[in-house]
Order: sequence, then structure tokens, then C-alpha cells
Amino acid sequence: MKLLVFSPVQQQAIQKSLGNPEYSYFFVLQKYLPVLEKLAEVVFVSRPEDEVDALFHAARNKGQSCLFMCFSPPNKVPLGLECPTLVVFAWEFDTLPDETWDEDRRNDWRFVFSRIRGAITLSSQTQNLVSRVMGADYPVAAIPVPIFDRIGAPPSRPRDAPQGIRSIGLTGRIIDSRDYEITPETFRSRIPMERFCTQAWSGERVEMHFSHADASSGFLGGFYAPEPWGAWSRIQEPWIMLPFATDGIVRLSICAAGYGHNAGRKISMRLGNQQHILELGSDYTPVAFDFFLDQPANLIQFAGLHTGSIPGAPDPRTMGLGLRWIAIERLDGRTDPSVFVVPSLSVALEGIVFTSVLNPGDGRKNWGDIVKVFCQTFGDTSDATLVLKMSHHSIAAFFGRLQYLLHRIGTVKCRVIVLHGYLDDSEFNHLVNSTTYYVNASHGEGLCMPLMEFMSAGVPALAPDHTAMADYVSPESTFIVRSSLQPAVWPHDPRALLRACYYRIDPESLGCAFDTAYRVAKNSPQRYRAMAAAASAIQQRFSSDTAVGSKLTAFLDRIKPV
Amino acid sequence: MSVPAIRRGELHFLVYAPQNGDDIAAELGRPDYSYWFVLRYFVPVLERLGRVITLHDPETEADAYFHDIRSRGDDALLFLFMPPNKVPKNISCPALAVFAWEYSSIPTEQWGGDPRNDWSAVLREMRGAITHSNYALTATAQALPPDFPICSLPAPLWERYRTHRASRANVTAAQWQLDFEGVVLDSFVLGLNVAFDVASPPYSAARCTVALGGIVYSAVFNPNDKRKNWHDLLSAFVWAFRDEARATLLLKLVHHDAVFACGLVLHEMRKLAPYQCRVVAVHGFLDESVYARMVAGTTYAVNSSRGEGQCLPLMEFMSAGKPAIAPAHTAMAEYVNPRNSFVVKAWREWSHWPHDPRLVLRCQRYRIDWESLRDGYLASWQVATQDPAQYRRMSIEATRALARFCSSPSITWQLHRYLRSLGLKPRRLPLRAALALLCVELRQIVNRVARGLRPP
Repeated sequence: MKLLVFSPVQQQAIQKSLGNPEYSYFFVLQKYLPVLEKLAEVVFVSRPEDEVDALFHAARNKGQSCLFMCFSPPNKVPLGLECPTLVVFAWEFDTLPDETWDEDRRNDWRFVFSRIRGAITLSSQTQNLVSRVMGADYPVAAIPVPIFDRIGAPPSRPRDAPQGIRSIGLTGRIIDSRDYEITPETFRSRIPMERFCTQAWSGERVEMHFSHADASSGFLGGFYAPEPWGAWSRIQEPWIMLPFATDGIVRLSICAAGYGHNAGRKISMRLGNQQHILELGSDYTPVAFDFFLDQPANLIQFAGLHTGSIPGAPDPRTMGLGLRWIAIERLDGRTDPSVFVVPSLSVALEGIVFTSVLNPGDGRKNWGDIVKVFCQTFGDTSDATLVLKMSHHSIAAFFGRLQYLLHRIGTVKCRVIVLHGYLDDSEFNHLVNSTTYYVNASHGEGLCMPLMEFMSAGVPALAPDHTAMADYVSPESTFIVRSSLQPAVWPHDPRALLRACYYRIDPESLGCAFDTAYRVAKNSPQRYRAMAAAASAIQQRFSSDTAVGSKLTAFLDRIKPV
Repeated sequence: MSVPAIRRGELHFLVYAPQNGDDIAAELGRPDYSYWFVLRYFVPVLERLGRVITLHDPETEADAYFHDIRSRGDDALLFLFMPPNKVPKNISCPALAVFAWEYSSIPTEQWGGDPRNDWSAVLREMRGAITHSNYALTATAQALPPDFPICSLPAPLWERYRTHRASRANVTAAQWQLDFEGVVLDSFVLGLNVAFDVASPPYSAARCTVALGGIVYSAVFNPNDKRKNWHDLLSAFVWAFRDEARATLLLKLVHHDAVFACGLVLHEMRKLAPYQCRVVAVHGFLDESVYARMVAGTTYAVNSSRGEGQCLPLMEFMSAGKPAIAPAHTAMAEYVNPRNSFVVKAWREWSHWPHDPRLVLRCQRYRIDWESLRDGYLASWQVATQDPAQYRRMSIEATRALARFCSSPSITWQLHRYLRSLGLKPRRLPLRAALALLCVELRQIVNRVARGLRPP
């Protein structure tokens, strides 16, 4: 048999696409491969409309059966192919899109299902949904991604809670809550911000806009949540972090205005070794300043804003500086790229470590709750650490929001470490082995491969038992976080209508789970070991190559490709 | 704190709220507008205990009145219905702050260069404080010395709305009408039963007549107040009754700007469409008889707040014998219970004081369990349509709970006792009233002990 496979994001683009919609289909396909290759000859296609039918006819002429497996949301599946088509998709809501918009009938997934051979979902919940709308006879199966054999530990030798100092390395950036000096009015990083550069710069003009629709607002520090026009500063000394280091003669243009006490106020604006006085007007006239930098700098630091409230004003926010955009360009004619190396860093972890691997741009991951509840629970506990591995190509997807959250939380004894960058296999395994518990507080999961990976390796978890996680999360291996329904928008529906439900997390229950998990790891080694054993045992049953292979074989037999 | 000797003369109450009610329609939904309504409810009680003088500018008037009253051998106490950070400075007349609060702690830090943002510091300088729930009382007392005189007194409004007969659920589509000057958003008229992309109606005030019937769920709130969490209230209603044309959600919007308030609500109404149940949002000042009509026509009152200082509308509807769908947290814990309400579950979450611009996390508020709110709608429908006896029981229990919570005699006696504890001499109350209150309190003690709880 020949299996033609396709996912919308290809190998060469995955680093830049990390965190974009549909990037995870690439990983689903990659992880499926070993099992598919045991069953059939696998051929990758990159332009299915052009390639699939030609390959199908060639195979048929040789007397070979052939099937096209499209790893994508159903609305992206090419229709009208002669080759029998299966869609493999992840979904985490309690309804399937069954309406047409943008004049594309494929947005009604029933239309797609009725024109292809069948569907593979990654969870029982979604399998049941498809059966409900397409009829019990419709060929659909719930087959998880085979994870266990990539990373799994034999459940017969369960691991103990990791002890002592564990060093985690990665190529990229590490943000550590203990590097910040925090008071309610101020927020400062003790380490140089150049460490957070994510790109090189050759001196060309770069504009950064700060409305809520612009990704650049993630580079702001000490500002309120961005609005449609831009962002208001919140503290006396807010800043903008540039994603690259600037040096030489640099011109900075800024479009900003002062609010209330700050209209007409002169504030200082520092970049590297040089400082200028910025007089805040009220009409957002752009102004430009030239900086002569003696060494690379990427932090634009404002100082001198007035944060007193205006008596009687209906909006109590301490708005000082309204910022629309900045532009930066080099004036000395040099076009050589600034020195930029992604550093290899390491951080030493100790005590009880809770880890989560997630895409910060995906609101369903609900990582704000994880950070808040962790810090609330362990405010007085110095040996509790939360590690968030952020899977997103841009640091702006979380940097601003993370710092805002840490500022609101204030000084706590526990520690939050955020990893942004690339971990090779051994570094990833090291992270897994250094972790005491995996933590998930999502509104919904189509599968959650990182949770399965950690559980396979014998790491117990804190997680809700809803959506796909209901298939493999149980109290034997996991401290269950309670949740209940809440309305949601289908994530790709531009009309933003409330058409489905996913889940709202009970923060008290998450706090309780953190607290109990910490005590178990500290005081009940036997119970910890039993949970670790249960975690890898359930993953072995659920996602080993054998388990997935037999489900897949049964399903392919059922649909009988020609 | 030293207790001055009790003076012999008459006690005068100087009362003030930031809005004076002259043009309340224009003030609706502005910060602190509801203090005026609270003041209005307290005046009749105060009139039984002394003489009431309403101030328009406490900074210039309070001390003049105070010195005049003292020079006649009488005594005076200033009631400032406002949040402590807005209490005027430099007034020598002894003053109480009367304020609503719905978080687990009060502000104990200053910010923005204004020391008055530290409520504990402001209150320490005052003669005492009155808040409207035991939840707020506990939060406030924690931040103050143990001998600081503070008491919890909800607005005495039960008599205004009370009922002697149980309500009946209006199962049949018996029609009743709301007539008022303002704006109406009606999902039936807008066509939201067919499509979501309907045009906005004109938001200019006009004479409106809305005919209503069937089972009516009502809520009164400011759509610009995030604490009200009204998106949940609306979406859970539509989820529960998407195909049920006999179910109506009636929303009374409290805000001075019709365009703004109706725009917010219509946006959410559209996101849920199409639905066969009816959503009616009204904006405009309802005079007392029209509001009474709305209360009378309602089957259930609904609340999905993250916290309530007392919640006047819910207290009004429940006093009138309307069972509720509401969480039993913060102030509502004192009158919402499973005998009179479909209790909505809620979870504590870390939050900031609502007027703190630094947004630092310092207190707890509540996150609503949306699923239990939807289930509350469904269960209440079952009772209203299938179990009239249970509906009547819940109706009676609603008005009884509110009588215990906020009837005038009870509030009058508690205030009397509080004033005495401050060393003041309010007018004497009839012995009969004292005995009635004693009975109520004894019954509370017996009830608690019978359930194995510590007496209050």
C-alpha cells in the first residue's frame, strides 16, 4: 500500500512557523511516521492538488492500493481528488463547524467529511462528535499520536522524584523571575536586556507599532494591555525592548503623547550610553532623536513620568505616556549585520519542579492561570519552581505579558523560569528528567503531546480530565484539576460567534493540586512512585507503536483503500 | 479609643452621598452612583433614631452644622456614603464611612501619591464605619485594630418590596407591559431569532412599550462594570433556552450613555444568534411604578457577579418574592441559599483591588462556574413550568430570607445598638421592637447550634 501524506507546514519552515496556527500538524505527522512506515510505503507531498492524483494513478497502474492522508483541519483538505482521502485532525470543542462563511463550503466540515473517505481524530470526544453529525456508519476513528516508544520508560521501573541540583541547557533565552527587582511601582531586570535579542539588524529602518493587533506590543515593559490605537504606560519608568541590538549612529523616531499630568512634561529617554529629553505633546506628532552609541544596546528606557492619579477621573489607571509606534534606523551608512549569536545558556533547578510546554500565542493554554496560581500557592516556598517552555518563534508572543504578570504578582519566594529557544533531544530529555510534575490548565486540548511525552517518561501530572485528556488522564497518575464548560468561538471563525463550549478552569482546584503534589513529592515517595508508574503504564497502553499501529490497521481495513 | 460621655440632647444625622439625586438619570452607571440609592434607603431608619439633615457639600456644611448643633447641647454624627478614599479631609464633626465592598481584603497600601488610598489609614481617623455585608465586615476588620467600631448593615429595603403572598410562575404567555422613555433592544424585533448579522437600531430615546410574557428572567446591571460578569448571564441563558420561545431574559441597563451601553450589549447578543428565546435589554430611567411592574412580572432574578457589596436589585426582587439564580458568595452568602435560589457555583481567584491602577494582586474575587449557571437556568425552568408548589415555596423563602437580612425594624435596632456603642444617644425604640429583634437573634442562634455550627 502507498500512503501519501501532507501537512500544511513543511520541514523547512517549521522554525519560523512555531506557534502559528496549524504548526502542530507538522509534529503530529512527524510522530505518526514510524507507525505509518511499518504499514505502508509513505510518500510526502507538498502540493496535494498537483501531486496526489498522479501518484494515485501510477500506484494503481502498478496494482498498488493508495490512500491520501491529509494532516490538517478539515477546511484545508483539498476536495475533488480521485485518490481516496483521509483527514487527520485535532479538535477540542464540543461542536464541529457546521456553517458556511467566506463563501467557502469547506468551512462546513460536514461538507468535507461527506466528500472524503473518512476521518482520524486524535481524541474520543471528537470521534463521537463526528459520529453524531455524520451518522454512526461514517468511518471515523480516534487514534492518538504514537508517543510512548519515542521517550517512554518501562512502567516496571518507576522513577523517583528528582533530587538535588539539575542543570537545564538550551540555545536561546532564559527568563528567571529571580532576575527582577519588583516593587508595586517599579520593575527592573538585573541582567542586561541584550540577552533577549532574537535577531540581527543591518541598520535598515524598522518600525514597531504597538496596537493590540501588533505583535510588537509584546516588547513593551510597564505598559497597560495594548488598545486598538496603541498602549498607555503604567509605571514611572516603562521601557521598550528592541528585538535586536543597535549600535553606531542611530535615529529613533517616536510617536507618543502625554496624558493628564504628563501632557507637556519633559521625560528622559535612554538608549545605551545616551539620553535625550522627550517633551510629551498631546497630538502624537512624531519626533526623531539621534543616538551615538559606543556599544550595542536594545533597551529604550523612559524615566520621569508622573503616575499620580487625577482626582475624580473615571479611569483610575496611571496613564502617563501614550505610545503608537517607534522607528529605528542607522545613519552612518553601515549595513553590516549587528553581532548576534543565540547564546547557549543553562539554569540550575532544584526542589520541586513543575513544567509545562506550550504555545503562548494560543489562548487555550491558559498559562496566565498557571503562573498566577503557582505563585499564589508557593509565595512562601523557596524550593518550588515553575518551568514554562514556550514554543513560539517570537519572544514577543509572551515576553511583555509575562513581565506584566510577574510585576502584578510581586516578590514571591518561589521561582518562575521561562525557556524560549531550541532544546535538542538530549536537552529535552534532561528537562523531562529534571521535572517533578507536568502541569496543564488548558481550556481544551486536541491531544497535548507534551503532556503525553512527560507522562510516558514517568512524570506524574496536574491536569484537567476534559477533551482529549479524558482519554488518558486519571487520578492514578494525575492530580485532576476541576473544570466546567464555558462558551467559545471556533478558533478559525472570523465572525467570532459563540458556537461551541470548551472548559473554564477552577483556580482553587489548581491551587489545591499544586499544594498536594508538592507535599506528595516531598513526603510520600511511595505514592509519587506509584503515580509515576501509572503515568507511563497508561501511556504505554494508549500511545505505544503497537497500540496505535493496531488501531490504525483496523481502521484502514475498515475503509479498504482501492 | 475613648468613649465620650453620652450627651443628653437630640442626635442629628448629617448625611451625604456624592450624587444628590437631582439628576440621577444622568449619573447612572458613573462611579459611586449607587451610594445615593443606599442613602435613600437609610434615611427613614435614621429618622426614627434622630433628626436627619441632607448635605450638599460636607466640606463647607458639616462643621457649621456640627458646631451649631453642639452649641445647642445636641449631638451630631456625619454619615458619608462613599468609598473611604473619597472621604473629605479636615472635618471635625465625628464621621462614619458607609461603603460597599466585595473583596477579601481592603486597600492597606497607598499609591499614586495619595495616602487616602490606604483605606485602613483613613478609617482609623474616623469615628467608625458601616458596610453592608459580613464578608466586607471581615475584610475591613482584619485591617483595623480590634476595638475599631464597625458594623454590617444592608440597605433596609424589604418593606418597600415585600410580599405577603407567594409569587406564581407565569407559565402561560400572560401579557404585561413596560412603558417608559428610552431604548429597547428586543431580539425578536431585531431578527436575532433568524440571523446574527442584524442592523443596529437607532439608540435615541423614544417612548417605548414592551409586551412581555412567559417565564421572565431579570437582571439589573451596569454593562460597563466588569464585576457584573454579565456576558456569562446572557450566554448561559441562550445556551439553556436556544429553542424555547417562551423564555425571556430582561436586562435593565444602568448607564448614563444609551449608545455605549446598548452597543456593548447588542454586540454580545449578536455573537450568540440565532436563538428562539427572547432577550430584551432596556435602557432608560424606569420610574418607581414601572420598576415595580418589572419586578412583579419577573419569574426569577439572575446574578452572575464576581462579587457584590450587597446587590440592591437582587435584594429588591427577592424581597418581592422572586426566587433567584445566583452565586452564594460575598454579600449574597447572607441571603441566597438553596431554599430560595438555584445556587450558582463560584471559585475564588487572585485579583487586584478594582480601583488600584497598579493592578497588583492583593485580594480574592470569584470566578463563576458557567456550567452551573446554565444548569441553574434549566432547573429553574423545570420548577417554574412543572412544579408550582416548589416555586411558591422558593418564593416565600426568598422574601423571608430578605426580611431577616434587611427589614427596617431589624436594621433600626442594629443601628441603634451600634450608635450606643459609639457613646451616642439615639431616640428610644419601643420595647416591642426590641423583643422582636431578640426573638430573631435567638432563632438564629438555635438554628446554628442545631446544625452543629458555632453561634454568631
